[in-house]
Amino acid sequence: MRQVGALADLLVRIAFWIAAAALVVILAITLVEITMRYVFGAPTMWVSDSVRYLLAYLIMLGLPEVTRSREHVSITLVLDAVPSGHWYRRALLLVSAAACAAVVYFAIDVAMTQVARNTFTQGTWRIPRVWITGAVAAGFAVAGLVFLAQGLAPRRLPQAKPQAAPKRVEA
Amino acid sequence: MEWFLVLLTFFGALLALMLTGINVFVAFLIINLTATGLLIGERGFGLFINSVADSTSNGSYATIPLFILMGEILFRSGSVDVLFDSVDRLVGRVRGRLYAVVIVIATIFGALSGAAVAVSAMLGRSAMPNMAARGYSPKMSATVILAGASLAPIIPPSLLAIIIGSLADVSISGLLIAGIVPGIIVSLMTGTYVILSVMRDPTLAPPDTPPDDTTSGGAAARGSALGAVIRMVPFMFIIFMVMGMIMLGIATPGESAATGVIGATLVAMLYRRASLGMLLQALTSATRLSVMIMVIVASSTLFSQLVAFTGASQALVGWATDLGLPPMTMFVVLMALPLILCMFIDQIAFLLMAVPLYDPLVHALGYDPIWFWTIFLVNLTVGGVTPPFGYTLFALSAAAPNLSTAQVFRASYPVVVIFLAAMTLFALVPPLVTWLPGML
Repeated sequence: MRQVGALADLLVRIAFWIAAAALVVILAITLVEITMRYVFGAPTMWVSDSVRYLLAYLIMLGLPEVTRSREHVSITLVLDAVPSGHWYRRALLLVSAAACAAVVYFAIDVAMTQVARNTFTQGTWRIPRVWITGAVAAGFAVAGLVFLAQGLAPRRLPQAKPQAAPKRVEA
Repeated sequence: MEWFLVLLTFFGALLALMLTGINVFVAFLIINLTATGLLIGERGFGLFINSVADSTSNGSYATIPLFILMGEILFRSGSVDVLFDSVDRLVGRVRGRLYAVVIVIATIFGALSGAAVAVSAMLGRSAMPNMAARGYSPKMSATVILAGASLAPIIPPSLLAIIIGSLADVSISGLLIAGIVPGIIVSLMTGTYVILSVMRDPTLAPPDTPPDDTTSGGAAARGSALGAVIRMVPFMFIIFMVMGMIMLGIATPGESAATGVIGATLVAMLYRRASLGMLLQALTSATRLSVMIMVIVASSTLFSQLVAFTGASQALVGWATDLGLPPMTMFVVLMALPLILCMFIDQIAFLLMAVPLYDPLVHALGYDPIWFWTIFLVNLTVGGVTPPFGYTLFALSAAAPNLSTAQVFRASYPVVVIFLAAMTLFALVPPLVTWLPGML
């Protein structure tokens, strides 16, 4: 069981590094586009579409790690009064796992339809839509498993970060 | 079902779910999946999945991780210390100098990072202890830091402006640029408040404060004013790379964000503060923060379509326009809701709920979208510094251990008043907001 957990942990981390790499590629190809347009006078046809697809992979492959490290935004008024490992917290995690499972179920259904119909994305550089839908299914599937693990074995997983951490979402 | 009951059910259920403490994105997932099943049936779930896929692959959102990465590189490299020293040198030896330094620094940091919480935490750690040690009033110091940090979501690059622009189909460039003048005005108003307060109560600032040793070790190390200006040039270069490129029409917001990342890296290298480890930390942190924001956006996208599908949005617009209230009265009503709700719930979560409802009203009531959404943005930031639940308050409270939460709360009241006064000014004098984007 411990080995399965370690393998899952490794998968989450690998997915996260791919997400981070996607951000680097987004940066690099955006700079390529600027260079091609202003230095060579030859704007590319593929950069804007590639950025869109990479963004989808960034978000979906990064989702499991953010879930694992419990960094998602939440309103913690009630949670602050509930001790770690309390059944209420575990119930919320299991509900979250169920919501993710529902998304995965419907995403797989849509993905299978897209494969059957050979649907492609819109844009000048098109890819099969199932590549994006598949990323959605994969991201929510692993995140759902992480929620499930946190709900079933909360003590083995990292504690929630304090609300006032500088990396809190706000813009 | 009556339209107001539909809206009440949608928003009440969503708020109730969020208040349970469940992750905001999961709350949106649950509401959207349930509403899709009830309103559209099984075929609607495909729509939901497509809305998630489409919003994760929306090119305009690519700007968000790039701007976050730029801010992360600047903060993690410590390049901001150079900026702190330079501004400190330029402000000169005046009574309450560090108040002015913090306001200027927070304005520039806000422009460079776009995150109020990050600016608040950073200044709470770096400036606050120094100011306390020199006899500055902790409460006034906290007020200045909170006011300065709250400029971050207003001055470009603002992540909230990008999300509003994408959701409300308003020019993102226009919204970003529209924040410049209001940001500077709020900054000046805060400065005026500090000057008046120190004049009224001189004990708020120590007399003839000695030169600051914050990071550079004293007067000798601070160098000449010209040197300070020269050291600030690279930061001005980054600001040009971001805002200048957009204003000149050379680059899209996404492209300007990419050039901003390169600029931030070059600045870090110039100050010999760049390292592979720092860049990797910045990259992973930016990825995490981007995912946190974007997964909420992706999960919530269908929400507005479902509300519209019920006809409730249209009915609300009809009801609001039939009221026959003067536009300014209606404006006050529309602004009261975010002001109150953002004290309790996350700004992005509120944004994603409110924009779909407000957008048709903005059009129906004939408001200039840039003007309305910019003031809306200022309004959202007030929620972040309004007790008892403002995130910016908690960030400062955690970063400055010499301040109790109660002191931070008290320090926030003048900030709220300043921002409300600024909002009133922008509402009454729209060109303050619309003039600069009109030049695009």
